[in-house]
Amino acid sequence: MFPIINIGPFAVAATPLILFLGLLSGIFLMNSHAKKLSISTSTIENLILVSLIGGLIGARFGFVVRYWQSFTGDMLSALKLSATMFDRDFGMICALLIGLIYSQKKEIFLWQTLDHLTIVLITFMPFYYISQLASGDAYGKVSSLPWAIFVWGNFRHPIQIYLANASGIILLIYLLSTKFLKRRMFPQEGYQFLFLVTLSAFCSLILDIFYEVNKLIFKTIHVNQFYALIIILICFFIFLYRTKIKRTPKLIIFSEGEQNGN
Amino acid sequence: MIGNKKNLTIFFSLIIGLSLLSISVTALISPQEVIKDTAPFIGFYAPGFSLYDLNGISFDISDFEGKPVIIFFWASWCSVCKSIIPDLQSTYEKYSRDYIDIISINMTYQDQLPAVKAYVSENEITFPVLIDPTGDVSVSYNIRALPTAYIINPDGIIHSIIIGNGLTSAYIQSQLVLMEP
Repeated sequence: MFPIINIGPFAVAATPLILFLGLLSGIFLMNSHAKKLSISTSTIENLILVSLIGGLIGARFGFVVRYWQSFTGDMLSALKLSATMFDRDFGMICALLIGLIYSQKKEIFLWQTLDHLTIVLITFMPFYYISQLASGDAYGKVSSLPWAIFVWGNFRHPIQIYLANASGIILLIYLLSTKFLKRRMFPQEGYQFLFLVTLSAFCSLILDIFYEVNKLIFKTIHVNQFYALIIILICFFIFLYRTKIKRTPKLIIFSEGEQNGN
Repeated sequence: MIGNKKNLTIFFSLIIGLSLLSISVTALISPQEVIKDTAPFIGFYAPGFSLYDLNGISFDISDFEGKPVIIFFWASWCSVCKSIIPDLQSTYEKYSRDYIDIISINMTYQDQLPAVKAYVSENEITFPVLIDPTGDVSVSYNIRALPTAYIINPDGIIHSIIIGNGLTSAYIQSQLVLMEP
């Protein structure tokens, strides 16, 4: 795997670089689409930035709180420049909460925002899986197929490449259905978000069979598949809820003759 | 057109059906959790090795079973390594008796042995400093940058890998908490 990329005298950590490129690409694509539809995305960009910063600070804070005994002797060490002292789950919760608070303050429309953020997400995902290839995370089951890659002592399914390809296909579906960003994917707000998130979760669920290490729920079900199914069901129920149309009474207009009983 | 509600409902129904089928098939064909191999990666058994320290005493990774151990790869020319070592030394002095072992492996095939000995002596390092003159152990641990540290749990399984300056005393203590049974 390639955790470090050597560029001349510099050694750059590959994973954060690839993730950063993915995020930039996603924001670029979102802006391109919004520009063609004459939509301003500066508020959404600010939302992403605020959520990222809030998430990082929250992740460090969560780590310090979780292991507070480690910091009692030297509180200043909580501020050390370290890539390891982050609590990922707490950071994600903080990023979401801060994003929600910011959205409310700026009165951002939820479904339109989610549609735009989905563009960032589906562009980011192929880069995310490539970064796993660089770091060696998410290794596949042992395999003797001709395209198996040698990872950690064995030839294995290149699960990161399968997932990157699947994410790339979803991105292609999006680009084709919007005629390369010239129109909306769906006229209704929110449907793009629900459709693309469902498709991404479905691909992840299907390809999970090729993962090497899996935690199990109920002793049989792969935990990643379980979470993907939950996401799909949530999207489905949100879709059903949004398709409910309140029926209004029909206005019946009588002609003069009918009104007079003729 | 796919955007109409009927088509989307069919889409969702199909996805849910296929998902349930996939989950069932996966549960049937691979129900057990995986037996882990040896590899320089989290969740795998740590690659074995046997090296000599600066005094010619042999150390084997199997000597450290039963207690968490940090394997710290470094070189005397690596400034980030040298910034971490004092913290590592104080952690070793406080915790090595009861909680965690620390061994360092100097990448001697990319370093100068006299410089290593001088550095160890000047900084009064007391944790084991093993030398890797051929680079075989560094290769088996997939060392691509310095410093790299592996934290191994009492069962010999790699618990975490830290590349760069993340190996602080606070981080080590947090990992000890996580490794508690």
